[in-house]
Amino acid sequence: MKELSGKTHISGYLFVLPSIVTLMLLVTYPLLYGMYISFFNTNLLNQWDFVGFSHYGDIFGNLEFLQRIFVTLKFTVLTVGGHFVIGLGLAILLNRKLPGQTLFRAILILPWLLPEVVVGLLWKWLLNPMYGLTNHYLFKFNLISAPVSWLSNVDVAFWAVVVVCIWKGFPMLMLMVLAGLQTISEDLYEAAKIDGCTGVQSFRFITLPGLLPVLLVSLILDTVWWFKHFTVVWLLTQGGPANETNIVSIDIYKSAFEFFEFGKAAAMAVIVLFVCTLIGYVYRRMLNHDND
Amino acid sequence: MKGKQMKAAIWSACLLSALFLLNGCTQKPETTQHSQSNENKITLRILSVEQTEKPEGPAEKELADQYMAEHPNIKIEFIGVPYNELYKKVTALATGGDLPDAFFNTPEFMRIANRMNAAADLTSLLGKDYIAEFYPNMINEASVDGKLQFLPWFATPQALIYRGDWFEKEGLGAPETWDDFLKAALKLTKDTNGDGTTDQWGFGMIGTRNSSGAARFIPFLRTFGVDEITKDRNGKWITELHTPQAKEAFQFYADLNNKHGVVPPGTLENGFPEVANLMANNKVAMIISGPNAIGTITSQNPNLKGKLYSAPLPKKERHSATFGLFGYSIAESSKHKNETADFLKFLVKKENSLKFNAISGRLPTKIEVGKDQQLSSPEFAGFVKAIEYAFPTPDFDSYSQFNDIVTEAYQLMISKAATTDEAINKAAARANELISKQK
Repeated sequence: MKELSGKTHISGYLFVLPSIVTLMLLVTYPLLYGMYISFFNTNLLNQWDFVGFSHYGDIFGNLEFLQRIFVTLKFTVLTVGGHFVIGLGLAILLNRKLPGQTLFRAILILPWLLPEVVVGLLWKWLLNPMYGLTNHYLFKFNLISAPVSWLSNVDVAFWAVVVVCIWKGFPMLMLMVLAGLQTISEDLYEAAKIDGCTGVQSFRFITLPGLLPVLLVSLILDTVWWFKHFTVVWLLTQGGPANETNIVSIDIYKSAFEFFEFGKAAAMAVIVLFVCTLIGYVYRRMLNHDND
Repeated sequence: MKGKQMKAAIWSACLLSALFLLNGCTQKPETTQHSQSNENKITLRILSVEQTEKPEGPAEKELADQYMAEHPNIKIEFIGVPYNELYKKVTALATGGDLPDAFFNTPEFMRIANRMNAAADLTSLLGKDYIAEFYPNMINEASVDGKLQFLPWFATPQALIYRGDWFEKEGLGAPETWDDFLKAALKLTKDTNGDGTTDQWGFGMIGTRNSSGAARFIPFLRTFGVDEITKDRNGKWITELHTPQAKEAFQFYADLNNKHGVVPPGTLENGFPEVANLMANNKVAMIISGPNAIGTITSQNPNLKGKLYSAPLPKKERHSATFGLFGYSIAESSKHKNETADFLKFLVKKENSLKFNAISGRLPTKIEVGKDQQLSSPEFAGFVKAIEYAFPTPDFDSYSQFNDIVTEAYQLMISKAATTDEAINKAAARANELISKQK
């Protein structure tokens, strides 16, 4: 019996070994290597000057980095908020037995299927002040009298970027919520109806609690994803105009690949990792009542 | 019966063996020849910015095809990379130990590449006699500590490209000063179809915050007598970004958009492709760019051939230009340095340089080619003249960061997110921080 348990023990380790090795190679090693780089002034080839925590000191001593974090948080909150409002609303609509439901599901998922580069370039042209369709229709309906520079104007550029990112990301949330909605038993709604529940009360006491696990996972994934987002913002504004959309991932990218300060870029990335971990922890604490 | 069967089997086996042997004898030389030719064939991998651009990419490919036809043992494989991604790509490939045989290089990046030991010393590889065939200031521009980092293939000095036909129609001459420039820009900003809105602008400003925007702004800044970075009498690095002249230059640049309205909408998002497109569509009269823009614009609108003129950048204190030098480095890790060098020599041969110039507008780098009549047309004369005013790229290690420093400053001003003083003080502070970190 003892022998059998020993064999099971070893075979258990053998079964998880490929996963552990893969995780070590693809996740743990790059993570630790990134942290290691953050202690050096390096060109990653033949220059490795140990500088200790000086990059971290520089970053936290610089008000601009903290401003970037603030811009990034603002961007993330608005984008994720937009995803939740639109995603949840559409998921509830699509969960009803309406004509053309399948067609709408297929259409509404399109933004998520398009690659981020395509979305960035597509919207850059749509928002182009001279040739863009947005200004064309606004002119046509006499809503503007002069072309609006959506991505050059400090008053609107940030909002334009948020709108594009909401458009790109809402289908993911819509799908998650839709899947969650379909797991809630119809019996509960029928019972609530018999008990005299209104639609709002059904939503508050049946739908929301039933969706909570899905919402928690979606919220964490979506927040972390958009907090470290880069592609769409870079393609639309490159962080401009005048730092208005300069989120932290753009700073990291520029430090590494435009200024060749790989150590500093790695230090910033480590800080972002901690922020993302903190966000996940806070969400879990706030929303996971089962563990309380 | 058994014996007969045995005999037949033996004969069949002998016949088959004979056939195999004969087949083997006849096939063998061919197979050997084939494997030999495969063994001798050398593949040169080349990281090229030109492959992502038109009409430069097809022109470069055509030259490579011609070279391969003349050298059947060489196969050239291009790896395309956009200019704004070049430095990142080279760094990533060098870090991964996967640099191709040759890679595109510039004076802004060559010091970083040199510190990574990425580029071979071309001075010893090509020989001093061969290098003497090039303009000496271009060779200096492409060298670090007397070692040639890349073979200058072409120059793209920044100059003013203007619509010669519109200027002639308005009775305007090539702007010599920034006052002339502003007058012309105001005159050429107009509503051409009478619908009450401006549809033609005097100046197509490239206002993006990247190397493309900086490549225009830095020579502009220098025409006001301002060096973004220079050495003082004691050989110490200093910046002049906080001076009254710098303030005047930044103010003038921002005013073109904010006060005079001679720039089309979307200034801060208009990069080179957008502005070239505007000029090709008869929307702007002047742009600051290299001669390659002529090829880009006329390839989009062939009707503009002969209508685009060039002139050195107007001056406040002095004319100025960058060399805009580009060329290929041979990777230190390349196993085919001599073969790659031979291909690079082929690219800069007189007939090939002139052919490339005719298609792309990019200026040749060899003294003998520079004297050719082809370069004295109104299209190119301004660029050839601009090279006389070209300043060498400062040999400051982090020079590429000045691109971000100056472009951030003009974006702050044009977007009105900061006052002129705030913008230039911030730029000067960033420059001084860099200088203080320089070893």
